[in-house]
Amino acid sequence: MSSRKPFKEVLREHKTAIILALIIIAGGSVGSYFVIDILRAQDPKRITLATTTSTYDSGLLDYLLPKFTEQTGIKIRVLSVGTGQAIAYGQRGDADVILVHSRSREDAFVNDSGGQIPYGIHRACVMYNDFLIVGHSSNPANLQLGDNITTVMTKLKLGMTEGHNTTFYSRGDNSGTHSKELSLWSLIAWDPTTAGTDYYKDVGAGMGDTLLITYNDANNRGYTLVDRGTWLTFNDTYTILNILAKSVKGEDILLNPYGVIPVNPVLHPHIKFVSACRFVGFITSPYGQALIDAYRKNNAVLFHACFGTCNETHDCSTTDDEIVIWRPYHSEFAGLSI
Amino acid sequence: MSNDIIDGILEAIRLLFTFDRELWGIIEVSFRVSLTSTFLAALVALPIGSFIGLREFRGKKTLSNLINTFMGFPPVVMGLIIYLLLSRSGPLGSLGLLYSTSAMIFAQFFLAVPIITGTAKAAIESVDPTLKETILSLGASERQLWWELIKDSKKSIIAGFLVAFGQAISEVGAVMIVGGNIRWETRTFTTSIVLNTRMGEFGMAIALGVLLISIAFIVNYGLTRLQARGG
Amino acid sequence: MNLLKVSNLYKEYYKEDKSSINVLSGINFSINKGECFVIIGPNGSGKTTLLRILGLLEPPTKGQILYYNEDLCNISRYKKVQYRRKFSFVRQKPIVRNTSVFNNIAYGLRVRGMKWEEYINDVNDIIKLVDLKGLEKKNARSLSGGEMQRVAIAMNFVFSPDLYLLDEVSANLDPMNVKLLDDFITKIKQDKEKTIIMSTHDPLEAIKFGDRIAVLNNGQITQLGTPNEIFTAPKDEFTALFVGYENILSGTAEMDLKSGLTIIKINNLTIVASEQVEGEVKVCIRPESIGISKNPPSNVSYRNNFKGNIEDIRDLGNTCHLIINCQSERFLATITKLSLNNLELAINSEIFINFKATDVKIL
Repeated sequence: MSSRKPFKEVLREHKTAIILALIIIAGGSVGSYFVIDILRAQDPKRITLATTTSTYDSGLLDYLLPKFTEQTGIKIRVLSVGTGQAIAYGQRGDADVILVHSRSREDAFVNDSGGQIPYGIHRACVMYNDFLIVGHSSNPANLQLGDNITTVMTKLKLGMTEGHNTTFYSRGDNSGTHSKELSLWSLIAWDPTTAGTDYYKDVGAGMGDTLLITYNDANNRGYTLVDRGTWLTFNDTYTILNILAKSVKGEDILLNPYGVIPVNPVLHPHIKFVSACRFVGFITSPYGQALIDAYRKNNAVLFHACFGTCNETHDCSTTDDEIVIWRPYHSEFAGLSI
Repeated sequence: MSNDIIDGILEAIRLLFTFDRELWGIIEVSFRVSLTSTFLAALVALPIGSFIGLREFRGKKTLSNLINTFMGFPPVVMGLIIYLLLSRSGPLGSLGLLYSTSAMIFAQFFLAVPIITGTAKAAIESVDPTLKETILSLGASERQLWWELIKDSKKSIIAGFLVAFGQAISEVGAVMIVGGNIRWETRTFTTSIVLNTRMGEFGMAIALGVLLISIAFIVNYGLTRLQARGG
Repeated sequence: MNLLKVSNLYKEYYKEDKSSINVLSGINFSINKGECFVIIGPNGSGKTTLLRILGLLEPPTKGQILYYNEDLCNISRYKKVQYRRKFSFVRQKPIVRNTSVFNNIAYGLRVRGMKWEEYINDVNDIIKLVDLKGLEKKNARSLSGGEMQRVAIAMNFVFSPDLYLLDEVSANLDPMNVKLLDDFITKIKQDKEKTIIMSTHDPLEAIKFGDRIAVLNNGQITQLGTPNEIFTAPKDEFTALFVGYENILSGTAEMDLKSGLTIIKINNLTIVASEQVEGEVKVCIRPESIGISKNPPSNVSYRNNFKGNIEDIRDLGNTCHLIINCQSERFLATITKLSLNNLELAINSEIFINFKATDVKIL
């Protein structure tokens, strides 16, 4: 035992130095990990897109974006959130480009920022789908597919306030769908949030969750507003829910147009504006538009491309300027076919 | 419903053994983030917690109460705070770290620090006071005493580390906000489960859930083995 | 110069209801280098607290402890550690660390900054001494109670401090280990550079080791003096009751090979004892063991017979204490009141005392 100094004793006598060295190595490697992440954030070929759950969760972006990356080498990081959150991310500079569906808030986003410089520039209308009102097949409010929207909303209101046989589930999360729903109620000059009815439920959840809650309505009399994309994802699962109202000819309000807006680099200098504009160019180019039209989920069409034609399909009040501005960005994708 | 769960388990096994690139990517990110954050937190919290446990000082009770409160800090709120700090409009925005694994490590780090601090403090305090005095009277300095107490209570300290790790890997609110659930980059078990549920892909969600529970089981198994070990 | 001077030391503990109790109140004493100072007192008298304060394990409420003229109550954390390394506080119930026997024993040397080459021989020597050879690599907490006690003894005596603070160290030991510990203490006592302060509730231990004894009761030192002073002339009733009367004599022992007995010469007296020792010894005879008679005894089984005079009679109710002078050595004997009257004893009466060789306890 006394002949040779055991290695453990050597370690013990240099304990402090060893621990310090380990801490420095660990700290150094974690530090360099952070540095790598900071450097990666500067990469101009890596942009962030804030979009709504309806576009991402439907699988459209997973289908579209690899084709964009293939052409340009630009990687897109997708944040799939509600419209309100996506717009907030744009305003704070946390996203380079946003793809959302709430026209009034999109207009506010490009027109004023509460000050002089707008948050985003040159909205482009990309595509649209439509909203549906779905509910249990017992249909206590007696909605008819041919009803115009004011009739539909009035029937629902009466079902809640007088018939007491109708429950409406609202997203209540400040999303595009939620603001659409509120604008539908304003058509009949009625505000369910202040009407004091127990039959109007504010669930504060995403579309999938709201559908699930509607489906599980205890008395089989739930209704909700849903975008077609999400509906097609779930309609096989929630078989007892049916489409009870949809857009009728000549009526735009249930149409759901999506706009894409690059965030203003004047306001946020770190915004990778060129790459963001190339993405807008891609998605509005004939190639990108054809891809959108070709996308199917469960053999159903989800989105209709509408850049430059939206004034024909619905009242989008897109100006010719916007079309002129984005056209030069299409050249990069010219001649590509799906 | 039970069919969904069985299908989920089968799906989990299938994905694991076909080496599904996305699944293994998610596993890699989850472990990288949770292990790094817990390790960093231990590096900071262990000295602090054991120091508080070792010394008597004015305001110790208040500090202990504060730590206990922060042990139950709502992860979503932590996520929001880190988001506001790292957001481009926030004080640390210029780093551009938002929506990166670094940001997730930050958030989980601050969640894990109180847990490890609290457990380290409790572990040191629960050491037999006669042992403390014996070590002191043998001539140990405060630093030498500290090292001995850490060694003596290493089991409780490792248990605290594992609890923090378990919390980190199963946490969803904070990593969702600061990580953004970006595919290939910041998607973890939990955010992926949320996404798949939202997309109606219940099979995949259950598969991921099964894996997460398996990890929790392994961690807990390790914990009980550790506590059962003699000495 | 005094090595250690304790003046006006107080310790107050606060209970949960905020009321306080005084564990130590106004302790004063000083200790010389090389001395063995014994603090004796019942459980709860404050012995452990006093030693813990001296060992710098807790601060006093007020008071002063001068060690070579430095006040130990008023020093930095760093200096406290330096002083603790000059002291050794050995506690009543030793506790070992959760590591190997070797690591446990080497610890005190390691924390003092010694390298493996410097301590390995000392550690191996003491391991041999406490008979733990072969167990070095075993975890100390997995040992038997007796072995664990030996690890604790070894780890506390392997390094060489200036001042030993021994807190009822033999109270829980098994007999074999008491012997081991006694050997250590005896060895330390021989080194005039080392000072010992020990506490005990065992009067015999106090007599055995104490150069001076302090009696502690209720946080106060009620009497301080040499063992002889304390045990033959207790100042108050508490001391008397607690220490018990003892006849303590010192002399030179010689073995008588013929009879197998030990002959102890104490000034003019010669006492026969059955224990076998040689050299300078202290012997002790309990007052109850001493028989009294008016005439020379005929019973030969009593090897020790002395003639003496009664110096004093102390009335204790049913019993009496007799102070008997036999050729200038004083003996204390207990007798019932009935016998006292039957024998018609009075001060200055001439009597004979006797006790068995087996009743002579050698310390």
